[in-house]
Amino acid sequence: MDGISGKTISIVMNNDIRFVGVIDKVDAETKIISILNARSLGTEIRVPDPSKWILPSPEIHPRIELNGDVVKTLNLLESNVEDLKPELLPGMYQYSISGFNGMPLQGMGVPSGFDPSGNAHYQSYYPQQSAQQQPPAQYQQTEQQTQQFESTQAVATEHAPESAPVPVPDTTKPSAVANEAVTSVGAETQAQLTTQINEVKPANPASDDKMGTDFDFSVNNAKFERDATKPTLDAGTSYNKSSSFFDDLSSSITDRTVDRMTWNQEKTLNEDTFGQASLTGRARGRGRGRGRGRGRGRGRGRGNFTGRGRGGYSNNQNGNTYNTQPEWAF
Amino acid sequence: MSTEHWKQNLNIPTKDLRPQTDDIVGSKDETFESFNLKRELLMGLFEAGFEKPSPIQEEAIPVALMGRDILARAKNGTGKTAAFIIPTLEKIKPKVDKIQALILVPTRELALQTAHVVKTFSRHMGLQVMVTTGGTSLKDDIVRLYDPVHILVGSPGRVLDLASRNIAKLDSCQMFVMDEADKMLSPEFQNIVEQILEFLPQSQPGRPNNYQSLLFSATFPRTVKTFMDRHLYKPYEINLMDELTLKGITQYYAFVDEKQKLHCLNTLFSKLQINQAIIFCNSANRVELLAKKITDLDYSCYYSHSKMKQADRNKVFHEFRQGRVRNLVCTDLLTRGIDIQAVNVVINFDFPKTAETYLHRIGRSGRFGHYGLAINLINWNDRFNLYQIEQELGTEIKPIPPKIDESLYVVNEPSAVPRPFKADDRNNNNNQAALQQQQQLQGQ
Repeated sequence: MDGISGKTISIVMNNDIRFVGVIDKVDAETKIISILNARSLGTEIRVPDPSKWILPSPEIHPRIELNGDVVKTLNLLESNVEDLKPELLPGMYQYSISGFNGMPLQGMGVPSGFDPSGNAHYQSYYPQQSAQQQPPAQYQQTEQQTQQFESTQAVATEHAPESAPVPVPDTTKPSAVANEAVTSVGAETQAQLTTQINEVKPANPASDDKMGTDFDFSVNNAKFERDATKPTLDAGTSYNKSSSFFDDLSSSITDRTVDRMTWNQEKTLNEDTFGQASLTGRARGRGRGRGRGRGRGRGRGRGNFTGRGRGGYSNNQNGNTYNTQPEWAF
Repeated sequence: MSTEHWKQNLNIPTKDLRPQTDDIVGSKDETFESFNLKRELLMGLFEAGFEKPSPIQEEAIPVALMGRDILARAKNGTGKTAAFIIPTLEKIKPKVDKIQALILVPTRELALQTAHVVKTFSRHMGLQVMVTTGGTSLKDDIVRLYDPVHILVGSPGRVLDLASRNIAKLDSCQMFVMDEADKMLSPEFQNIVEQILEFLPQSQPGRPNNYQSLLFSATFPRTVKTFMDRHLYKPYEINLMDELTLKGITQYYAFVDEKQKLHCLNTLFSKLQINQAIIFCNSANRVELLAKKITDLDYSCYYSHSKMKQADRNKVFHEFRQGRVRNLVCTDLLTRGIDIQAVNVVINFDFPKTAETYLHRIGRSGRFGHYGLAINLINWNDRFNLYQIEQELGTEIKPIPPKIDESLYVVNEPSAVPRPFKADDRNNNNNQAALQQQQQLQGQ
């Protein structure tokens, strides 16, 4: 048994969660396997159902012990444990914010920071597509992938949408997608992708046609004539360090009414902004349609956690009582 | 020689190498060691990645150690929290099992964050820290107080509740701290705070208090001055705010129709290099609506507001701090004090009504001298507020350019951005791993 101590091991458990680490020892009698520097890579590609995904965890556990009974498969690997990457399904990338300490997608030879490669996550957002896209579990050199992806990106941003690449499996590999796609996506690509969104999710109220194009800041800002009222910028009018420690800033502390809207005012405003007055009254809203299950199960039995009001929402929205409660909790 | 030996075994975190503005660099060339702090405290500080005191720390720590009341004003994210925690910890006697310090903050999130810093710094000191705020089980707090507590961090309502039931005994509390002091003295809190003070050790009228007060904030409206006059004894004023706004934050507006706000936000998401972003709305309803729309646009986000259950709020806050989600939509509940270093963009989806709120909101990015963006969606009705806030703050909010210079806010090495320190993890790693493993097993 001693021969395998120090080897890199990959264990898939009965629940399809994979752990990787370095074998410390294997106790044949108790069937306990102890692993050092263990990381959970989650359910990876083994579980297609998004509601049952367990995502990779950035934490490195100095030592864990696994009971042999819960182990489904077990492999000894030649590579270093640090080099092992999770094999993610495309839709998982949205949850993997790259670049933070110890996040599993980091330190894999991908340039850190947010390069434009992130748009893969848009393309791969849909589980129904992703099932077929998922490549067999094998990795190419990261370097190569990244380059390949960058060139793809260049095409995507420089040419008309028609010539933009369709999602290809390579781009959905972890290394290429180490950067979540909230960052810069070429305009055309964005347009194309949003069109996809419209096709797949016609009921989505937020993605009507105009969403596909960029909001034009310059044109809109030009509508705002403000030259006449340019502030004098020598110093703020409400604070002068040399004359007083205290300030005369307009303040929600001194004027508590200033932040408040009546419900009638807010209702009108909300309909203007969002096309609806509130989310309540929709069968308590809880979890309904939230990302079609994609928002679920992201880790350790947290299940439906989306922060949604969970019935804690006050329905006290009539007339005067609305918004009169202090926002600050005691 | 042996005095330096203890430094060798410290577990120093990776250095944050992002560029910083000069307003957080100390000018006096002080070191934490020059304050003659206990070694155990220094160890905790260094392990939290602290190297040199920031200006507010340089000013406040020696004065606080001398025992004087302090009224301190410094910009958001310049190290105020450590400036009051360090002297507080230095003065605690670990062998005396009494509440020796009370730290009041306005929200549970801030209480958790503050207690976390206290625990991190005091890791080697053997102190007991307790967090208590409304929205959690009073019974649990009562049970907890049977065991020793050295430092109590909480919101005023719950602290008063515990003190007036004589469950939290504050008669040995030598140190009274208020973070976001102006908020703590707003009409909703002031009366409660004054009642709490009656439980602290009293002195003869006209004599110095038998406890020391440290009051910190970035804003101090003139209206809170009466409280200072009444309850502080010859406070030492520290004011490091030459101007109100932070140097590292670039502020833009985008002029929109109310109907265009979502479209505008969607475009911002696609164009900006967001490391983490906080998006503010002016009501809880609007927070929920916006969070739903953002999710529909296939961006991940969490949201938080005061009408949610505390447990949900805690989870959201924790997950966001850990960087597990990129965007947080919230009300002004989280405008104050929340310190998440990875936030490089603040978006005012709804423009705030007051300069004070604006200042604290945009202070969520550009923490500790780092660079960040504040983007304001402005509609026609907001224009007067915009002018007024610019005027009051003496700052110009410029129209958003078609392309934003990345050097103004982009985090090139996100891995170097400090995550919140983990106070307890290092001791309990094995337990935690076992626990998590169990949870994963149970999760199936």
